[in-house]
Amino acid sequence: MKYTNLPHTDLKVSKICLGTMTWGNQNTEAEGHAQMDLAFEKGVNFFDTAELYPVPATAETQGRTSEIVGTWLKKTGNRDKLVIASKIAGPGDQTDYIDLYQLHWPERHTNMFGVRDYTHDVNDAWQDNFNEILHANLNNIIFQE
Amino acid sequence: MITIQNAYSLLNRVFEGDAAEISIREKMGLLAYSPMAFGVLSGKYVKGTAADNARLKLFPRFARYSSEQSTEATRQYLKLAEDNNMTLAQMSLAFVTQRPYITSNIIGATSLEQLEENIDSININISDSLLEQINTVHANIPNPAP
Repeated sequence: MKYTNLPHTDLKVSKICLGTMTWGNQNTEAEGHAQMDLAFEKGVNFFDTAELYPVPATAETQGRTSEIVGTWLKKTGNRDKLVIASKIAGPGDQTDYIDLYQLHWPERHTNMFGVRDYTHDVNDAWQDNFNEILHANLNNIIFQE
Repeated sequence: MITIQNAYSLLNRVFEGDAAEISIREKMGLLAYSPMAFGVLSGKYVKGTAADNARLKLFPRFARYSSEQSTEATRQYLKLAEDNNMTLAQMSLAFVTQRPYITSNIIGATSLEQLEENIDSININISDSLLEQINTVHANIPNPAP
């Protein structure tokens, strides 16, 4: 594995980050645990998750992925060897902290998800709420498209 | 802000405009998601080898990477990978991991075999000549899945 620093921090993260969004729908808890075992064994120390996972996001399933990460952390005791990025919430009640806290996409309509070009909707109200976040001086925020 | 998480793959290099420059200058690393374009860049859909539980068979509404242009670009990248003795998955992932603005490449898998192949892409090198060939395909079919 190769590593780099999470920018502006002394946290060392693997250049491969383990995505988690299938666990709890396409994958079972046991399969998610097996994936974390394998990735950890291969030197991956960086996991990315989100409150709304697994995908597709539904009210019934949201949070399952975080629970699966949480039960693996509890079982293995590996929390302090990992850098965990989440979006809005973390792995249930089973980890005490999130290393990288990410803002899971701004509420706006732009040419993403395969859409080419931009068509402006004059009725789409613009609420610029980023300044408040930046002025609150929170670090480790990312903007996801 | 220390990182930005956007989709980035052979089929979507939109980040390489002003975002790539500011990412490097301000040291705001890209955490690339969907580096395999929902599995399209495994080549399994163009080869017709996708299993019944493959994501785009389960959830066809995830159509971001399923356009005609994406499919054609995938065919061309598949040929490049085969000509260079690597799997399309590994070429696709190594391409992403080695870009200078990447902090980390967010991979995912539903089987341990896929996961191992994806993680092992860390050992694949995209040579300058392969990069040039990739860029030729990209120039002909730029960002088919923005």
